[in-house]
Amino acid sequence: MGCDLLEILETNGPRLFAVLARLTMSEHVAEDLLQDLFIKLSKGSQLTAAVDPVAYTHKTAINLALDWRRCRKPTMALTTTDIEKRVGNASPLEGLAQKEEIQRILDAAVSLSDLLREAFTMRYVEQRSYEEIGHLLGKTPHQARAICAKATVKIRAAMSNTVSLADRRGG
Amino acid sequence: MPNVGEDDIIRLTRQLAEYEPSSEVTSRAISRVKQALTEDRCAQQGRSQDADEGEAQIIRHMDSLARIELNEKVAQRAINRTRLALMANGRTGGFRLLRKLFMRSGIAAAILLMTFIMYLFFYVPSAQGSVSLQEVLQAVNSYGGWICIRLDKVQDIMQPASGPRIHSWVRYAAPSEGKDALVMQFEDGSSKIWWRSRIEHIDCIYRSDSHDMHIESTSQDWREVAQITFGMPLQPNIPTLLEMLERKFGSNAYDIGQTEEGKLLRFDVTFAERIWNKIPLKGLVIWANPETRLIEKWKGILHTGGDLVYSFEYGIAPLKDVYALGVPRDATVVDDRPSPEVEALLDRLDDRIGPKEALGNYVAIIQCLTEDGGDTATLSELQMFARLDNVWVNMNYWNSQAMEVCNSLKRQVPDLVEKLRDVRPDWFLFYDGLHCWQGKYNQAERAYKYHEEIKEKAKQVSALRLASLSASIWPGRRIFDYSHIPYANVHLEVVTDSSHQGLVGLDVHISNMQQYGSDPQPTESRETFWLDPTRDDMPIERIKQYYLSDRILSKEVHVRYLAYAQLKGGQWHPTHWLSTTTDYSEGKPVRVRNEHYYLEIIPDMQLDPIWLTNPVERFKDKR
Repeated sequence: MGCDLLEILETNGPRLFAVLARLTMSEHVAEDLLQDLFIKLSKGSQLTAAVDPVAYTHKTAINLALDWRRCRKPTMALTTTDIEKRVGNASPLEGLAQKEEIQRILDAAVSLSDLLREAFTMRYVEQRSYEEIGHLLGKTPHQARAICAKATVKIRAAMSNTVSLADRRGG
Repeated sequence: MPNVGEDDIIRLTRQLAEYEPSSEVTSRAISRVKQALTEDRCAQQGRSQDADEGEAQIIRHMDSLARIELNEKVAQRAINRTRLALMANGRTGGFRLLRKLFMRSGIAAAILLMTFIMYLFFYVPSAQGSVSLQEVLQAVNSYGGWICIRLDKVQDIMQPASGPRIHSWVRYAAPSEGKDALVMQFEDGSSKIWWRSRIEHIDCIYRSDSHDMHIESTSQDWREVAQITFGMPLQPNIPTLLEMLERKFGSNAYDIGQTEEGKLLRFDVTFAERIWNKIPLKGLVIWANPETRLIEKWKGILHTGGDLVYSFEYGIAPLKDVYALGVPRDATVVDDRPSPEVEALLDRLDDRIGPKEALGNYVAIIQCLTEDGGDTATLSELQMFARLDNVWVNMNYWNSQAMEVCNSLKRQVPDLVEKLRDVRPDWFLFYDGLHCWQGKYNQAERAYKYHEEIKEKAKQVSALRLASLSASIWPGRRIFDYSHIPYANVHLEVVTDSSHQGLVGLDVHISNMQQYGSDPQPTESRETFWLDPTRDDMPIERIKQYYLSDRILSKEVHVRYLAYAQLKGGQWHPTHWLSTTTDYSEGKPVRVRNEHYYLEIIPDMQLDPIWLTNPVERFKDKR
């Protein structure tokens, strides 16, 4: 284990925890995944070989969280967690619909390629600038913008194949 | 069709040219086209508007997700726990868990890799594979003479990270005599010769650059511990490589195919793709003589490209001792075998650990609180032990649920046990007097991905020696968890010190640890345990220092035992100890971490029988 990993944890830990929590919609799961992430990085050699270890760590975190979404039991999708309780100030029914929409969006993001899911998460979940995303992904800001747009289109297309809770309830 | 003349054609085309559609018809047609065009445009526009709206909604939902304020305390706790896990390397507090050894990242990975490669050709597969292959491998392991095994080309995967590269690699073995040797020649002309005799319980390691040969004891005890710890075959065929793969990755971890190639039998062992990222090989090919059933050649197919090809030669002249391998007679002999004084102390300490421990029946919990830089400390790990005569329980928790339910309850065993009953352990070992199970929970996959029943009695005893409460308190021979690193030297000594009056010191010096990987790893460590012989060899202080090459200090772990108690029977034990880990960079301290360990033992406490069920079964429906 090199000290670099600890430095990455010290400087990027809060941000990594935040993205894990938002993607899993559970702080408890994020807590466990943060540990998994760094143990995984400490075991592999890819981090050392990475041009930008911080960018590599962020990308690995995104993929770890989305992989967790893919592996989790379907019933967990509607589990009430602390983070879900804090989504928006809508009425309970609207809040439920919104929660499910967010869950569906994140589940749809699971099916994207690594590049698209990373760009989408960085832009819309982490609210990073296109310049920053471009830097992290090794692309120009213009390319980053196009990748984010493409990810959104693909997510919408994936979601159009499913029926939302509101639709099932007749609008 | 009637005949049409040229005049008719001219007349009809003229009529066609003179035709003028009525304005009403024309207008209707144009109107229809316009309507169609408008409808199409609207439809297209509608679709586009829907799409834009759908994407905007996605962005809005994500905005709301991004704006959620997270609990800073939970975030900080998560970071503390992760830091703790990362820095587990060299940790010397109460927790000496199997998982910690695996977390020794670079070193552990390198050991696994090297051990994997070193012993790869000595396995016996389980009965699940081809019987013929099993017979072939058993024939090698029971061969009565000496075998020479040459590696065709030493691939990068086997090369040390620094220093001269290995030029040639030749292994000699007499399986039935329990003798094993390895000769490595380096590109700079230097060499290392390693010799092991399991009958004499010695290892000899000769290095031509220092012109010395260290002789070490190979106590069976710590080899068993290491075998369990690393799950690797430390001796030919026990446990087998494929058994290990089956245990860790399931029964479908590999396939065996059998064909004939010329006059030889050919066995293709293909590892399942899902485990490719966990082992360095994609598969093996073994060629054997159908008459003698002995292996002629063996090939490991590397993921990184290239093969490890070993050729076997049987019936070579017997090797009498290490000098027959080319060690000069005038090489300086350094006898690192423990002195009688050290052996006596180790025997005494071993008697305090595991099945022989004198703590009686109990339920105990060790809590680890990590200082978070301020005045507070966060609960980061819990270890629960229970013993009822011949029944042993050890449950380890570092998951957030356990931390959550136990954080407000400090050092009250009955409450903690009650709270933990419904929390899945992250690692466990328990023994019901006949059967022993251990398992490790995989957070990412939300399942016990590694769990097994330990069937052999010797391994069960070793497991208890490693994972019992007493093993968390007293050092014993299990402290040699580094010494099976290929070619490292281990020297033990009983020491005294004027600043530790009345105490007994046990000094463990490990040197010449091979470096692997790109990160600088310790090449040397020195650890001193200070024990109080008047109080059941109570640990009083422990210092361990790790050095990079050139004796540069890279890490120090200093454990101070701060409080003690006596059980009814008079047995002493610590109740509070502080572990301070300091990381060094270029010889200067750069990071300090303090961990407090609190141990409470409740003698003869009743335990809910549910604790004596296999957690894998108990928690299989809970994620």
